[in-house]
Amino acid sequence: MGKAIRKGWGPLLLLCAGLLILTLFFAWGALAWPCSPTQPSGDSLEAPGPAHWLGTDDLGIDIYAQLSRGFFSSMGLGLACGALTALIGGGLGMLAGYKGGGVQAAVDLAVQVFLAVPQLPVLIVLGAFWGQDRRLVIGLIAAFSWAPVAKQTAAKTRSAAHRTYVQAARSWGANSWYILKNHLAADVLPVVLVGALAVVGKAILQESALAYLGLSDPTAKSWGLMINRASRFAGIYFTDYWKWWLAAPVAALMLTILFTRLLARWLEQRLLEGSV
Amino acid sequence: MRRAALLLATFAVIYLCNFFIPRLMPGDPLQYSSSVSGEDMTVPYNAEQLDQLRAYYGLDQPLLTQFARTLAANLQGDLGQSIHYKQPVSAVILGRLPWTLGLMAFSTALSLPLAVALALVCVRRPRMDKAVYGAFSAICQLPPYLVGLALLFLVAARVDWLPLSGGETAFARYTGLAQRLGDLALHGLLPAVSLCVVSLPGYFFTARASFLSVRRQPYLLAARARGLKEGLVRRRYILRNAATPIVAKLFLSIGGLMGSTLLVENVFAYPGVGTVLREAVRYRDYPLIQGVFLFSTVLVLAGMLASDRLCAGLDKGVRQDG
Repeated sequence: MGKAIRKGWGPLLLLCAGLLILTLFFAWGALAWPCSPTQPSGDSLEAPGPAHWLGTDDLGIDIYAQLSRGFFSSMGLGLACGALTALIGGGLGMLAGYKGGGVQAAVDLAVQVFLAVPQLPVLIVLGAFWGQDRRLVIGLIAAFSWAPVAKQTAAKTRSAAHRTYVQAARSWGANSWYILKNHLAADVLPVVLVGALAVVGKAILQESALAYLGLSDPTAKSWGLMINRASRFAGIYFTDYWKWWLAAPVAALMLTILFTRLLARWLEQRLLEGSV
Repeated sequence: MRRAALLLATFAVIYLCNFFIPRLMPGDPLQYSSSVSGEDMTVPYNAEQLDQLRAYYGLDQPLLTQFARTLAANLQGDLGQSIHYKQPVSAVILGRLPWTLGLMAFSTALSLPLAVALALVCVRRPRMDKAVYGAFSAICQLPPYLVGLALLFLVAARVDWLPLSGGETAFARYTGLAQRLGDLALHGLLPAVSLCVVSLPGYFFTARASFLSVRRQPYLLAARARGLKEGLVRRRYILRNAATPIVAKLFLSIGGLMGSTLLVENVFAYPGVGTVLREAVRYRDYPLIQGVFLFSTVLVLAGMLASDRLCAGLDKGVRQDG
């Protein structure tokens, strides 16, 4: 029994440990590392060494410090998008699933429309108008992420609301808020949270794609922007610079996205099997 | 039918947003342009010039009139004039379209057969199935443009025969069609492979599920009992019956593939719609950005509609059989 649990939960521990290590590594860089992420602290394009663990970029700014700043900015953005998605998607989904009828039809229609929109082109168009403002980027990504969460939440709420104990509570005169809080929340919240977690990884990826295309705040230190600057550096592949300037943000972004998305996916599958 | 109406409504909503959002925002494009051409961008227009330009671009009309005009023009295939390229938007997009569609087709031609073949092998070998399934679950989470960047510095920069960027060798003189096609394939190889890394798992999962469901059908037993050769059973009975969900998946994934292609093109400086889009973004060429957006929306919605029709057709066929 114990072995079975350990076997089943192994991936979870691995992914959480990976995320923790990334966080600690970049927390050190953001809090205790002496170099500034915005001011030059060495020569231009220094190779990795004791003074600059991951070298410097063309302006002589420490890469490790930039990556650390970028990690927390990306994570912050991802978590903000996730929270916003949980609020909008979870709220609308619960409302639609619980009320049914016209409300449900309206939410269903909105969900269908948002699911059909090709996301990246939309984000590029809107980002071209509004991309400089970080809060708006968060809003935009959340606006195109809530639909799947709402859909799943509505389905879960609907099935939970038809249970006999909910009907019993209602016949005893319980109001909607009481039922949502005491009877439905325990069933529905995991669905909302897992959906929101899936958005975190997606949001980090989409923001990096926008920044890579040059649609983000040019003064922010984001990974996408670092990749954009490095890959535009003429002839970078004919020198050794890519080894620390370009490979580092690409690897950091890949690992972060991979860990968060696999974690969300693993939890989602557990949830579907009903064992969380 | 209901689904078609829904997709049409979706398109209408997107179209309306695409038209009204820039116009309802504060400010107008003429505020940010200068009446003096060249480097000096600080000289604003005077009131008379502003009126003239507004009249020229139709910006002095009421919003609804503007909308009617735009709609009429768009229906005739006129998406406006690109500010940066100084050409009609539709001409710019159509000129680059073969590259983008070609790249999408090339990557699909690589990933789809490979995924189907892998799935066919994996459904009969559980251990291999487990390994491939696990690996693909992780791989499909990777963003294609990062894969492209990684391929660029890990592979292309190290070997001589792979070009780093572009769609074909500049100023090349080809001796024949084969050489030209070879050049195109070589340039498209890495972009297509980076797209494959993400689409291959998707096709594999669909094909695998489809084969698993077909495998249990009694007609396979009947076919084998009649003594038909295994190869024939596989081609005629398994592949043909399992094909519909795979093709439906192909159409459904146009949206994701499109988005990835637009980004991957930028990594490899591939001369398709994606690089045009980046240029348009850099020069704030709004008519072009909106044109690319409208165009990709139409493509994605058409793909969804095709996938739906296919599934509906399948349901009908099943019902007639049963």
